[in-house]
Amino acid sequence: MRKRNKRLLSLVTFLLLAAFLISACGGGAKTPASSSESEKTGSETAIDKDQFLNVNLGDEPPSLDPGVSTDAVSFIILNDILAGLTRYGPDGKIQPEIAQSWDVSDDGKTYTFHLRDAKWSDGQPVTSKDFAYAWKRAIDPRTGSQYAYQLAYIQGAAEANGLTPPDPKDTKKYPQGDKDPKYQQDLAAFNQQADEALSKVGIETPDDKTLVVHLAQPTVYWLGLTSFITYLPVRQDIVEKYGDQFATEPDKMVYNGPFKIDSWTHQSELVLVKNDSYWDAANVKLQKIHFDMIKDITTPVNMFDAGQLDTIGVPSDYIQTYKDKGILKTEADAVTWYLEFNIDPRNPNKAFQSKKIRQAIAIAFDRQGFVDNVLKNGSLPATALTPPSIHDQEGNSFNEKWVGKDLFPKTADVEQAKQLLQEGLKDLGLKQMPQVTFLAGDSETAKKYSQAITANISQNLGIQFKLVNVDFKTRLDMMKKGQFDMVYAGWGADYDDPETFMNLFDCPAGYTSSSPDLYTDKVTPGDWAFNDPHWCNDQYTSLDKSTQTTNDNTARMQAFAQMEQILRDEVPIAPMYWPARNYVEQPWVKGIVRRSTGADTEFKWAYTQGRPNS
Amino acid sequence: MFRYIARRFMLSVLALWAIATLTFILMHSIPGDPFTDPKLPEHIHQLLLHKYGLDKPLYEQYLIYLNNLLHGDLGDSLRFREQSVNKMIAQGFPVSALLGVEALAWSVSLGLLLGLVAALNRNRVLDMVTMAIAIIAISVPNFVIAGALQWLLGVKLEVLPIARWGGIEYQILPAVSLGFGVVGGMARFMRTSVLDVITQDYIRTAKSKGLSAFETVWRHVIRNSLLPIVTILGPLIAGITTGTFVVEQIFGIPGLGKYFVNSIYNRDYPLIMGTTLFYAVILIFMNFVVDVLYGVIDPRIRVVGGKEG
Repeated sequence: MRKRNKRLLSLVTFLLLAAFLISACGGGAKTPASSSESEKTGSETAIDKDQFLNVNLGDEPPSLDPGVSTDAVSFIILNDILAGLTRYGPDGKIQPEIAQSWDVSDDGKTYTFHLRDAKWSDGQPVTSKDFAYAWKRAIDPRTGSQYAYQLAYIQGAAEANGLTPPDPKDTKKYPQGDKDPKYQQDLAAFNQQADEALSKVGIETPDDKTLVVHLAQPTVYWLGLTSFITYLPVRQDIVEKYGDQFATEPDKMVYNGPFKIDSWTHQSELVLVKNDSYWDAANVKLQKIHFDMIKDITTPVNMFDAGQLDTIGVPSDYIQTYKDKGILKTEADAVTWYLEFNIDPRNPNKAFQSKKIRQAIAIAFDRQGFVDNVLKNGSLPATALTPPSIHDQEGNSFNEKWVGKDLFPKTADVEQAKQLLQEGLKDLGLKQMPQVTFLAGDSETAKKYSQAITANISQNLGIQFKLVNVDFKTRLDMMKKGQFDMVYAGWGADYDDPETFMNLFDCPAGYTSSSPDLYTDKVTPGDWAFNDPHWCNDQYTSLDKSTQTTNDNTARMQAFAQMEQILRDEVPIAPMYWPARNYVEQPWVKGIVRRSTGADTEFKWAYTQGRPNS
Repeated sequence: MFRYIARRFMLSVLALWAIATLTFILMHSIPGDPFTDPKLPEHIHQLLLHKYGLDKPLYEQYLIYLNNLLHGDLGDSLRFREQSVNKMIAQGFPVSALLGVEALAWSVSLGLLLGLVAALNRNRVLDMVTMAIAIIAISVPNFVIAGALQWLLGVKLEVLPIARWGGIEYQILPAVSLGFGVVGGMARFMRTSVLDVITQDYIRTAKSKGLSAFETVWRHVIRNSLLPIVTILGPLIAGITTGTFVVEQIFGIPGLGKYFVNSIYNRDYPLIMGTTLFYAVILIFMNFVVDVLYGVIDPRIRVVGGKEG
């Protein structure tokens, strides 16, 4: 008995010791910035003495290497810690950043940027070579940059990026795999080819302060893209020093933006502090931004209510609460949600071969009712593909000025829809409408919305739907493989020009609607690109091409408006709604800029005024 | 004993290999891949698959993975670029384990106490009250408990932090939320076990030789009732110390829990494999510990390799 007691005792001791050891590894308390002292001497207009913000980032930034980064979380941080040639100002207009000024050639194809005196956080000057290196690095197919296509406007970039390395598993060509001498030879040839192609890319650095860029086409919206993440500068010596570990820790990168990373506890928190070597540091008031990485949607609401977060995005369940408190802010997003019809003749369900049936569904849906009763979050019924927050070259809303009417109706036109459906079925020789496979996401909201959409159309037209709710990547995979009749999908703008939406539905490059191979395996999913309906309209495509070769505002916008009309007539897609972004800020928060493209939250000009002492 | 351990070890390796193979097959059969992205042009997609060796035939990828695994290398995450899965687990596990041990410490003790009280007062008011508590604790999901605690103690009374991770004050609410369900389960289990023990002959003997009620319970009932509890403690410890998705997400805790779920949505193959295998190792190890402890606690039970018959 005693012996057993002893054993139990040693077991307990072991467990306690283990618990202690584990807790010792757990790390110390981390208290985010929370105290504040307002400047007591000043009038009410004086800003707070302690300038900081507590913000929820929502997730760990997957990559802070601007060459490979693609996600919204990383974009927010990268936009704060690096400065590109330009930056969008609080007024939504492009502003000089590292580029002090620029000249554009008459044909709109050559840009010459004149760089200002700016320094990296380690004291080195920011030079034109940092940009040339960063851009060519992203274009280089060996880097594997997912957003390299954002640079494809530059002469020679698409060609260089399109090169593919030899495939060692092609055993017919290389019987010995990657040890095959032929493979080694081809690999060396590929490397040489890639180096040559990169040297031909239209980027020149006549001196450290001048960057000359040649575009393939006179792309009017390209200047705005120079503020985009993939266009941020990268230092060659730093990348070469850290290799794969570049930008994975605060001391494995350098900064030239308004802030720099002070500490980064992976998967937990990231702290930015003001970068005094930033060229425009005089206009940066914030000293510190503390980012949490809390993925839950309710916790940030609680933290905001307790004053521990200074701003949050509002989840749909809390919209009414904050609306009642009178502090809800809503901003249009440059996103459109729409239904896509599978028009590919290889799809077993032939119903959507009929334009009339597609039209019927497009007008049988009560967009206003959906926005008012289901979404209830400030979203707008989408009456065309391009949302109103996208502008023409003079800063007018494209939809308001150039489309100017509701192409798709806000409320359902049930009578006409029924008639169109009957005519369409008759044309196809069908007695009744076959069941429609409706593909959508599997999040709570996607399920709710897809149920509401199909219920509404079903009620108005008597169509039977089979709902397929799957996770994001599965949905994309099924869309690429054409495994759907209708799919509920969305697209967000990459830049502020209608082209970012309009080019989605071009014919595959090199094909017209009369190409005999159009609906064969010769046209790969890569050729169809974003055109999930597999809709090919020659007039639409040639209009789109015409907008890429001119920089005349009227000509381009009229072409886009005409393309919107073609989409309405042919209905490869039916726009549903334009979502809004809902957020709240504490009353002392000032100057955070929110945008609908690129890094969606900008802290450069942010500050606090009147934060209560705590 | 040595022979037993060696045999168990071989069986464990076999089980791990089976789990690795099955997980590998299952995860590759989900549509999509780590780079599936609506904005990714197809040729760059192919390039990325090539760069990370995902365009190789599956059996080749499988052999490469097994080879790396034998060298203790779980690979790099494909979602969080250039972060090694080994490092992610090494950073997340201590956090989840600490929280798990804390949650188990209070919940198991309380659960056992409630179960004992219930059994000793069988069919009386105390029994019904404790069992009612147990049933509530089991049936209320921990995200409800977490949300309620967070709102009450964090937002309204402002006595504890709402979320984030740090010192002991940050650990109280998550540890309480996490242990809640365990209390109920433990209480019910302990009650059954105690009821079983107190009808045994040796208890009657103990009583008849004049031991006080306290002595009987302390020396004979509790100790014997704990035996079956040890069996369920193994998997329970493995499950809770490797992190829980919901509680860690609600309190913003940088533990392992979220990787189990998010890695699948992200098709982050190395992270799916890494977390699954890590959990399997802990589970197998805990079951092994339980088996060894069994022999230590109860001399009647002899493992293979000991005296038989």
